[in-house]
Amino acid sequence: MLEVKGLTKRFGGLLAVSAVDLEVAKGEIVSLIGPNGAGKTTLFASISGFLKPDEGAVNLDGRSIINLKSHKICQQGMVRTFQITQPFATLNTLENIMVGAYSNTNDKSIARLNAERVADIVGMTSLLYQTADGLTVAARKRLELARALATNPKLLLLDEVMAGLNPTEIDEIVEVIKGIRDNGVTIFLIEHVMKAVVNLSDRTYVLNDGKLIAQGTPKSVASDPVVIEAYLGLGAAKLMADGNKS
Amino acid sequence: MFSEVLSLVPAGIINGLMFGAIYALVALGLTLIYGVLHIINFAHGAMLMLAMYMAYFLFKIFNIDPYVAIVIVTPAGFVFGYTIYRWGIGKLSGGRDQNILLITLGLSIILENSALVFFSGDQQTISLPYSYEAFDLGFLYLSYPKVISFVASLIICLLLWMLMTLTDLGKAIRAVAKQREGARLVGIDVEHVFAVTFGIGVACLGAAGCMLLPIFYVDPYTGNIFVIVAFTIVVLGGMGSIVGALLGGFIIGITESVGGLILGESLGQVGISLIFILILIFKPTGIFGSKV
Amino acid sequence: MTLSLKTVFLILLGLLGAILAPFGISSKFQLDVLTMIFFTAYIGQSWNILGGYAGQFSFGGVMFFGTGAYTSSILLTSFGVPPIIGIFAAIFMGALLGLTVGYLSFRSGLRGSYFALITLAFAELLRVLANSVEFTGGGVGLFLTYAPGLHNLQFNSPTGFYYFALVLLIISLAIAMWLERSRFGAQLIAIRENEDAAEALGIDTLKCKIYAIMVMGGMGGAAGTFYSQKYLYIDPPISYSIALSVEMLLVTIVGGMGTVFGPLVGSFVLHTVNEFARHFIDTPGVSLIVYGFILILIISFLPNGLVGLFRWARKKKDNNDA
Repeated sequence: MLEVKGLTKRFGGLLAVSAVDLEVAKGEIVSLIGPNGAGKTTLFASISGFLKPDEGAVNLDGRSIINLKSHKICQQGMVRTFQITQPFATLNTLENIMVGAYSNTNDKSIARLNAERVADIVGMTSLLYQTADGLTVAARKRLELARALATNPKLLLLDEVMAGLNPTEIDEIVEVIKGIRDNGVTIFLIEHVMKAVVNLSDRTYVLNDGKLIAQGTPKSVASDPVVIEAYLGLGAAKLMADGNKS
Repeated sequence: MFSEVLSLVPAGIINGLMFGAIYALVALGLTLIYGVLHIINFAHGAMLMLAMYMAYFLFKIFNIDPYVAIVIVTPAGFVFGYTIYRWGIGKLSGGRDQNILLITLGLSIILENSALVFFSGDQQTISLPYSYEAFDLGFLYLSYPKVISFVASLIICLLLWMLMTLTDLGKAIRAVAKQREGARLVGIDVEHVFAVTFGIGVACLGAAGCMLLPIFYVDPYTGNIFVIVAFTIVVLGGMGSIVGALLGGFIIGITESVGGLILGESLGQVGISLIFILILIFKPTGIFGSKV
Repeated sequence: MTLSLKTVFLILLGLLGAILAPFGISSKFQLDVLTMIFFTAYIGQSWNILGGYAGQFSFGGVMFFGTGAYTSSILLTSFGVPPIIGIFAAIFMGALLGLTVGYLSFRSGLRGSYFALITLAFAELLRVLANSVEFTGGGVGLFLTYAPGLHNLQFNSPTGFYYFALVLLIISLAIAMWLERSRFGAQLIAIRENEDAAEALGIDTLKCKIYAIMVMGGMGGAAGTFYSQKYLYIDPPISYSIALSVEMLLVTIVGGMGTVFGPLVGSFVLHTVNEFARHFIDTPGVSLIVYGFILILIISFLPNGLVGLFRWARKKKDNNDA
């Protein structure tokens, strides 16, 4: 469904993303992990129309979306959420989600029905009339998810949707995301919470310093020495291996 | 016909330079306020008008020469600016861009109409003993006041530059401009620096007002005339750039002067608005500026 | 805004009152004040569409008014086109100007203060052009002949202009009400709240903002025709000076940005203040000083305006009752 080839993004002299190739197939949940500053959000922004890549190709279902503005990309079926939530502050939950729903319909009552349905999927029915700026962090994350879901996407890009959630909330949202996938939405997510990554992803890509350093199932990636060194530093892999021997 | 007009161009350029220095001073205050506080001061023109009235009354009532009055009006401007920011704008706006926009708009309405109510709408001019004496350059007469204003403006711009680069205060101001939170962390009282900067910006207007009065006129709407000019200069030279304000001032001054000569008084003004619009559309960061 | 039965009833009552008012008010002066209250509320609503709902603050709203005024007036004086047709040309020209200014400004990504400034510059540009060009009458302006008749949109009594203004007001309220229950309105509000998020959710923010400013422009154009037919004279200062730009944003902010009745409430308040001030001190500029203070006070302490205050009070009452 999503094909990224040779994506490169520079900020002045800084190479934020360097020649990244990746794929997300229909129906998968794929995750993107890596240390802080690796370039994950930049990568997301570059493939979803928020930043213009310097080199490379991005194809959604075979069609190039690389020069499209983000609202066009949304209309093509790929939506992203933001790491730092961006609610419509003075609107309530329902109205927020309806904005997403309106991308598919002109009719207010249809949009409203869709929004209510999405709110139910995400578990926000009790908060429908709560103003967005009064929501807790966890609720805001769900709202972010709900809004994106309301646009009826084929591919959902989730940027650290679990940051700031406690373990219970994480478990809940993992179930919600699984449910979303079961309903036919492909998911590509950036995450730091390893438990969620392992539980959710079919495949994982690891980004460090703008380059892809590993890919595979979460398990194989977690024991990959290159990945361990990226997180823990040079020589850590050998240390751990030696530690395991004795 | 064309060569007649063309022969006036050198005069237009010199004239433009004269005014340009004063424009630069006005723009300096504005660009300083924007560069440090990141707010656009809509009341800038109105405050210039007030400064001119102050110089006017000092002359009419106490017979103080406006160039001498600079030493009174400039500090007064600083105090006014500091106070208005510290206990007015700073407190009331809650820091939001849109709020500050509207508050400074409200301020300019209040100042302009207060002038209308208290000073009447009549245009006031002053004539100094040396108003009609001039340097004879052959192709152009340069009245004494114009030249004095030009020189004085340059001196003040220079002083301001020295303040900003050589003094501790200047360094603090530049620190706050670049990195608000970082400056706060090293112990700089950011609110105070904001207020001081605003005060300096208005002080520039104080000086500029004294220098404009002898060569122009004042009425409650004089501020409006200079507002667009000042904004154009700031946007042209780059928001926050002192050098940009200076250069921009000269460029605009010359454009206005030469434009007025070639296109006639009223159409000449078109040039300024047009330049402003074009810059905002194509290069909002200006010649020297950084961010929008 | 879902209308409760009570609200609908109140609105209809108000409408009835407005229609019958001229029969109850004998003073021509008072009727004229009411007319201008409606006019200001109408033009305030045009600002509200772009500023209150879409969150883009324009400081140059007068340019649509002025362009509309000149359009219908020039069509009348130079080509004999009756204003009842000319008003549509004015609306068209206003919308066209909106398209131009909107495209140039929004396409360049101008927001916030920069957008406000550029609209100011456009208005100023038009003022200078109107002053220098012959077909607008230059600095002298345009005089229109007194010839009452519906085709001229001129009336020989204040009552005629009262109903003209009332029609405009009703149209503006209808536009706002439609906006609040439509997809377009929801998109404008989303843009106001968070433009990037709106863009991410599939809203073409550029197109929406341009549509909004075109509506503002069209409405402003009609206002210009109203004014020129009522006062039979326009010139560059009347048509393009900042005073009207300020008035339209002021009534909306005071009344409540992004609400249907905000501009109307604000208009009532400000005109009342004006009459009050003039009663005590009849010097030009006094009421504007008061306006300036009101603007600062409202922005600082009551940013949702009077309608916002009313809603807050009603919510508190509902919470207390519950």
